[in-house]
Amino acid sequence: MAWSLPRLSRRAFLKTTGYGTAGLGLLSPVSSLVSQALAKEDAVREEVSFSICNFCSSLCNLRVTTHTKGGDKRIVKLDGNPSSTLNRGKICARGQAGLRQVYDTDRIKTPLIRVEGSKRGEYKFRQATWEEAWDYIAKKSKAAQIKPWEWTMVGGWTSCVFYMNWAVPFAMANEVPNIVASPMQHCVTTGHLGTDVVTGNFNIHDEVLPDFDHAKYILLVANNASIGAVSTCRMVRFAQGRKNGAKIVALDPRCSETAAKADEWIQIRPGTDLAFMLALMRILMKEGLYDAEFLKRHTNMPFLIAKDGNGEWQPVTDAEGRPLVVEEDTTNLRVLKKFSHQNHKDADGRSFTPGLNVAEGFMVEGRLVKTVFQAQLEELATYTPEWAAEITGVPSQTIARISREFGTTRPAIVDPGWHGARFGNVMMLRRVQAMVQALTGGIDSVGGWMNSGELHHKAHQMFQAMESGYEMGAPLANLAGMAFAKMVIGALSKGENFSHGRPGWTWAWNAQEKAVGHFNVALPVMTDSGMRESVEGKVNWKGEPYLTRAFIINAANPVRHYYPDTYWKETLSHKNVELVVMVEVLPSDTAPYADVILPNSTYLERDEPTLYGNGVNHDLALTTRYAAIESLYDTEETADILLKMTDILSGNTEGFLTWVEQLTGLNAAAVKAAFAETQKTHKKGAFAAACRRVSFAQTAARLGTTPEKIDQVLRERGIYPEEDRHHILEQWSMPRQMPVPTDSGRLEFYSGLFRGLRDGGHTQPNFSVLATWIAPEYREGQPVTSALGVDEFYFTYGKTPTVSHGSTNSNNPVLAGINQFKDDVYKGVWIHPERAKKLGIKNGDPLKLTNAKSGQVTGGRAHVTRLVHLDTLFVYSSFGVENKALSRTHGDGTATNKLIPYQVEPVVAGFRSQEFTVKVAKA
Amino acid sequence: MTHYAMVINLNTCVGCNACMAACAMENQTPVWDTHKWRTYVHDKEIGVGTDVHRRFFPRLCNHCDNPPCMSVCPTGATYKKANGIVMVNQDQCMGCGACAMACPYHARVPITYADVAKGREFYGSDYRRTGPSMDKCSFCDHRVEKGLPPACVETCVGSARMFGDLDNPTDPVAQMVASGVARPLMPHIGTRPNVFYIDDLKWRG
Repeated sequence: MAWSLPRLSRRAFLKTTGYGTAGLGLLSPVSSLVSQALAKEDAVREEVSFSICNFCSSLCNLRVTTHTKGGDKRIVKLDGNPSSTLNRGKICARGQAGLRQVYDTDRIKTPLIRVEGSKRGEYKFRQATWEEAWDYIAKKSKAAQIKPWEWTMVGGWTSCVFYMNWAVPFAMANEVPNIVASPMQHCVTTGHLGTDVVTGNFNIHDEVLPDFDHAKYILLVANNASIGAVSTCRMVRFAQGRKNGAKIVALDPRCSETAAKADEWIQIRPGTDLAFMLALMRILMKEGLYDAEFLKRHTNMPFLIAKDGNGEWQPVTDAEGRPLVVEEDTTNLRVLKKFSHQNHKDADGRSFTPGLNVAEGFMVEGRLVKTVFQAQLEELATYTPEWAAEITGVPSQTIARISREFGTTRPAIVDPGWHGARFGNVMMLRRVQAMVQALTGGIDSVGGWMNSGELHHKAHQMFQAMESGYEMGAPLANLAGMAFAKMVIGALSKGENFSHGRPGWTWAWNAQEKAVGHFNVALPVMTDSGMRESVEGKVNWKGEPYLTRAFIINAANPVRHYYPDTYWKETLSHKNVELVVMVEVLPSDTAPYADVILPNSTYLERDEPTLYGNGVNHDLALTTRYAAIESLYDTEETADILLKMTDILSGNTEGFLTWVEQLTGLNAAAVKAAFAETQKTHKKGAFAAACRRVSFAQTAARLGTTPEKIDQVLRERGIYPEEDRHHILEQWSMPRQMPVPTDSGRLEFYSGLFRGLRDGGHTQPNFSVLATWIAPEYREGQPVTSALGVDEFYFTYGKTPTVSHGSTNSNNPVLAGINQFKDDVYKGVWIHPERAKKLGIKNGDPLKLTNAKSGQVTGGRAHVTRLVHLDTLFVYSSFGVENKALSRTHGDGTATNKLIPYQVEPVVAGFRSQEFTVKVAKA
Repeated sequence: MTHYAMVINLNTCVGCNACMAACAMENQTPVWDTHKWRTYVHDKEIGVGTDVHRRFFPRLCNHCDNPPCMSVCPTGATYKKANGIVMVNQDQCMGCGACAMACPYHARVPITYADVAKGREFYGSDYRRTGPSMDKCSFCDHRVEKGLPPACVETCVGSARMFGDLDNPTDPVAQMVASGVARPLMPHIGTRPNVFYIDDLKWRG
């Protein structure tokens, strides 16, 4: 201190003015504070346990700290697990704030049953016991005689990631062929499928973690989610790559969090990134900027193809259907194995080098053939930088320069990209990105894309089974990549899997449409395509109506993040729908459309029903959750809820256990025996506890240790390491050591999957067997480059780093506080000042937004900024909550799904959620 | 001697706000009032014309070596520890707010009786506050004493925040400050702050 002043404390101050503790009562409404302040502090017992965060696909490992004071145990702090090589001891704002979900005063604390006389859409519920809730469900489904196929399960991403292995058994055991899974049409089957047809992966963001640490060039295309929005396990690596001096380029119509970290933010017309990437791919292939050895050995680029009578590229094979190639610099034909990771040993085991090119006019059995490489390069011929510049608005010199920079820097990464549901061409965009990554040889390599430890492990087991000729049994969850996808698709799309003979209504509807010449959706994998039609009675199967009359919605919020908002509101409210059961933690916007709400415990209050791998980590390790505190409220575990629902719906609990064994490998008899015991000790979560016990026992047997040892390590460190990534890559790198899970085992530039779909009559450009241009259609019948009106804009959206997509965590008090701090940026509609000026719009002005295609109208508040493309609006999609029961977030921001119509692309019903223009006016 | 300081690398701060949440949970701050964060991250648009840049800028108390807040504090509640951390003694503070007026970095906020009442409800039995006072970042002194980094540093997803000892020549933080690559806010006003920033504009291609 600069001066010496008499020590003046607050108490001394108060004494000298003549007020004592009684007087303090006059100043403060909480006079008891002082007596509490003077009381002696109780001792605090601190304990640490470990868990897994629940707020995005990064699945960060957590260290949980509790304090017990005066007999009250509370979760007080969450941190990244310092032992985790996945998130390296870091967690994001959602992760840090997660404990406040447990203590959220808006939580659903008991089962809720709809107040009699109220209707769906009104959040009017009364508290009930579990017995009442089960009774209600049983009575309702029996009275309405709801058939198994008339049920539809709806799953959100947490239920997918953690409970897929219980949800699919539920579907099979109860003969419910209908699952609408929320990330499919938004992400997993849209963009990801584009990547998958090249690499054989299935769920990219759960299987591929690019090695940003070691990359020298990082290109991000229409992509913020995987880095800035924020995916912690990726951002920690990206940050290291940046510190190591990687050059970072981001293509984005707005300056996203990721673009803000780039050396170059390239403002691109929304929906035209595919043109940029096709031009880039053309330059790489034309100018030899690719890893030729890698292409020859591990991709189908050398395979011969020929055009058939319909002008369709078909594979050229031998009589047994095996691929043909030409030995480099010769005219010798060679036959390759149908399924292999390599092309440098022919089907007879002789070493050779296949050529990427054959001579002009080369004939095989009277057919003019080319290699895939040649055919693809021809397809790219018109995709020059000048062509791309006109479409994208990016100068041709920039396109050419970035292409050459990317092509000549090793190792380089173009991030696979998420959330494909923006334009119909994003599936093709992600496919071209995967091809470009493959051109560099950067698949499953240092500084390139890298598969998770878990995927390597599963793939290795699967290929061993294939080689040895035995059928892969349980656990089916161990099928790797596309093989797993095919298993799930096969399960739900084939009526013969069910005694009632019906596949899912989404398959029935699209088959029905196809029969009258409407090729709507080729692969409606767990989609809502046909949902409304089924509810309304417009779907038929073998001459009989295929109705949907009941829903079980697990940890999903379709009213908020499917399109448009009215679709699910109207469908769930339809008079044909007899029963809507919901499993939730907080009163989401879908909750008002339920009849019964079953409260789930939060992730911090539970012991998981099984051990897990370590998510997308390159290292192989075991993790799980340990309950940090006992459940605060009258909540139940998902596995137990599904078991009880099975009991009610079909009585087939034996079948449920058998199917759980099929998916997870957890022995049904062992689970049954354990359940008999846990039912005596666990009032709630007894089934989950039984599964957990068996999981520990079986895993211990696999590892040659004891369940107690695994438990000890997990309690002490939260991670049980199995194998590190260096060793994994040395043995199991895909495709260098092992096949990739495509049909051919190689990376595929020519897509066998799309060949099959084309042969089935789906011939739009989206189904092209090679990379090709697909234009976005903002306005019907108008070319991409046609001028916008003075009040007309393209539209783009993204999530804030503080709110998980479609979730209720905007209600979290910490996150709500941060969002309030960032109010202008996070809750405004971004509009460029030059355009805003012409419309007389100033910062903060209320806006009316009209979808020029659909006529939908919603509101917003202007955030005038140069950080967005001149012709594009941007909105953070994290807000727009309507349910007042979410007290801290309802009424905030703009609900994007009030502005977005139902528009899907034809492969997987992927949403085309930006494929329109918006008109803006002052409100 | 120990002389704690923080270096923040603006090149890897991605505006995720993990630090805001971590600090709030670690230090039981009044999250219901969005003006009372101990640390926060600006989201700024900088540059003129088409040369526009989005900068995320974490802010917190600078733990100055010549802190104006300490000079004006009439009770001695604000003091500087030997390790450099500027602290507030909650029991001695009488809430006059002179420190908040004096601080050129706007690092100080008032925790009121209403906040404390709310805090008891919000943080439950674990709530450590006994009464109102002025409040600010403490560099998580209670963690630093145990050899742990501040909560914001530990969780920083981009590893943008770095914490160290300026008196240790082998400490990277000391080296970054000594080299001049990390610079403080308003060095000309004589506060001698101990939070330094690495510029994000020089790296642009």
